[in-house]
Amino acid sequence: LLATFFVAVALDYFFMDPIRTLFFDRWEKAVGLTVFAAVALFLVEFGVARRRDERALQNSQEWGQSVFDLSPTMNFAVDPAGTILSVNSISAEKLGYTTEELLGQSVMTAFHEADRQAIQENIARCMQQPGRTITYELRRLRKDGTTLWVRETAKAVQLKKSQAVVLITCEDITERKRTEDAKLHLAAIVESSDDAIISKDLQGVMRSWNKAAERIFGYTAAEAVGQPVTMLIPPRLADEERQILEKIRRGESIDHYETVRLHKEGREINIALTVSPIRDDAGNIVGVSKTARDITERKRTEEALRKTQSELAHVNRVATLGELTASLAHEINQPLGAIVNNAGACLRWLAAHNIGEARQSTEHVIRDAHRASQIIKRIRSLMTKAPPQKDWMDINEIIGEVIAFLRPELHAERVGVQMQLSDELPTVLGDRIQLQQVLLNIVMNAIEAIRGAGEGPRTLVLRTDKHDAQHILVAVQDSGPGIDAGHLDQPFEAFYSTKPRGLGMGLAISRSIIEAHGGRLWATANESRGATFQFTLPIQSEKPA
Amino acid sequence: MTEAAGVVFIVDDDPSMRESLQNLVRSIGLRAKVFASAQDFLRSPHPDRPACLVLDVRMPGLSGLDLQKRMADAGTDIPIIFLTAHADVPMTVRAMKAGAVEFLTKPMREQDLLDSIQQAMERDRTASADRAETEDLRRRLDSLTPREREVMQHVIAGLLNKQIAGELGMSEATVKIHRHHVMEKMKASSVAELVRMADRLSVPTQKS
Repeated sequence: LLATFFVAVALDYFFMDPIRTLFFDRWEKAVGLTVFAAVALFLVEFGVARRRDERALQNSQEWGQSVFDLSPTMNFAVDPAGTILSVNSISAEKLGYTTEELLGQSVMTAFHEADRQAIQENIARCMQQPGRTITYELRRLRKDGTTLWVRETAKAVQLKKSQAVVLITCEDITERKRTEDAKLHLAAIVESSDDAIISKDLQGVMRSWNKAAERIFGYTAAEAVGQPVTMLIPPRLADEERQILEKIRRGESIDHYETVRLHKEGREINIALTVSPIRDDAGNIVGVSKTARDITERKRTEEALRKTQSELAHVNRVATLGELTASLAHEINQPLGAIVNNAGACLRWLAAHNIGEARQSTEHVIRDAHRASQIIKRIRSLMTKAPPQKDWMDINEIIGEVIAFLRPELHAERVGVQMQLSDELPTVLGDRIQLQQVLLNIVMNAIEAIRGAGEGPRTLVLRTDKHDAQHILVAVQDSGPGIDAGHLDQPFEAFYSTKPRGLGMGLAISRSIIEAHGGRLWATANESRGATFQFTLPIQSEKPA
Repeated sequence: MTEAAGVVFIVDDDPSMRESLQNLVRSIGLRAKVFASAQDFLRSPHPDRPACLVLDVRMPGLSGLDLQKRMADAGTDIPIIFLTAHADVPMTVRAMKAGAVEFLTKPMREQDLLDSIQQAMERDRTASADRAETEDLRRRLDSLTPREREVMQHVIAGLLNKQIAGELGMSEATVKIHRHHVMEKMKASSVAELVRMADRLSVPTQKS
């Protein structure tokens, strides 16, 4: 173009009149030259611009290509039908192919079967609205058949008038998906848990609330989250929450702590709490997780069980007293008989005008009547149908009471009693009447055994001692015929009895009573003769409030 | 009644019952001796007669029924009145079969007890007379020679002198002499009386 221009100037210079002069004798010539020059200039400019554009385009294409190739994300260019036009090496590598293997293939082959429909639709969407970016998450399929979660951004671009391509960048989110799945999994566990799982911050504001929490406490998550946890705590237990938070701040956990909380309706519910600190990545305590189990039902069952047990123990006690009728009658009739005798004697002394003897007889009547009422009182106390109630007590004292009660029976059976009671025993927590019953059963059985043994020593040894650091031991040793080593558990079976009138429930009930007290009841055979029935009771470390 | 009327032995392990029985017995003018156990009673001598024993059935150590048996074994036949707080039929039957005067359930009417005591005393008094008579007869029997005793056994069996002579290989005259001695020593006025005496002493008859 430049050359043309110079040729034109030269032509004009050399060939226009006068020679080598720029002389415009006619204005037409000037116009012509101007037009010529303008055209020439335009042509030159046009050519230059074109060249610059061409170079720029080429540059941008090269740059784009290198971004496309070097990007750590997977990049694809596909045609509207989904055929891969271009793909970067990362993509091929991640999917386990070579670039060559992918080029010209349908992009579908590298998608999970279930997502092929979706990708097709996405490409179509891009084509409908060129230039618009869409994003979606789908599963890619590696050459080896494994899946790869990806988040893709796709956009249709018009390369030439005739051809549009869809550019797809795609990011591997498998790891993120896995974490998310794990979170969902955990969340599902939390949601499906039967126990209320609540989290709160260190200020006691609730941050999460699961389904079970809703069921147990009556509040929905929306009602509870953001509220202070104190709304669940009965006012009288306000201090408890403060102590719990303090413990948590120190990094401690609280395991299965039985307490009472409030339902939305205001009623109290028995729950077992497990509280532990929530820490951030750096190990700082940032919150508290609380698991609350509704134990109202369990408490109710326990209560019912205790009641049944107590009823049973009462039946057993009455049955035992039935067995004791003879000795009880003897016991009570002794003072009554004495009263009748002394009163009769008194009348006769009076008839004989022996006032001194009459007075003494009367005094004896009074004394014997008092004794009779004492005995009745003692029987009543053992017959009493008291509700189960735990108290601190001295086990030696209970042994004393039972032996005093059984004295006539022991007497009648001519059984000698040896007491080997430790005076260093701590008091234990238990139901006095139930423990009396256990001892009554064991001692009655021992008497029965001794009766059946015939000749030989007739002794009963009652021993108390520390069993280990946590338990005390009570042992009743008899000189009866004993039990075969192989059948030491037989007497504890329900309805097992060697007595013609026995219910056979005594030891079974006794064992359940002792187990309800946290102890154990068992029998051993003595070395020489007889059997020993013994039980343990736990020593409570701290007295309940 | 006077103190010579007899003594009541009381065995009961319950002190107030023991004391009240003693009081009651004394109030009708009888002597009472109390023991806390059957063993105590067995250990002490009790020659006083007539006597009776008021005995509690249920006692530690030897029971009342045990004591009854021991006394029977030892030939001590003091009449027994049993007292019990809780009588069962087999126990009562056993005691009565073994010769108890009465079996009273505590608390009994005191008059019943006193009646029983009187009855027992009467029985012991009669028994004492019986005993004295039997002892006298026993002494007479013991004075017989073996030959005389043999002859007596045949006589009470209803044998004639001639038959006895044949049985024992002696003459009829010798039998007659022995027979005469027997009747004399036994102070029997007739054969019938001799039979009664033999019966009382449980002399076995000699039948051919």
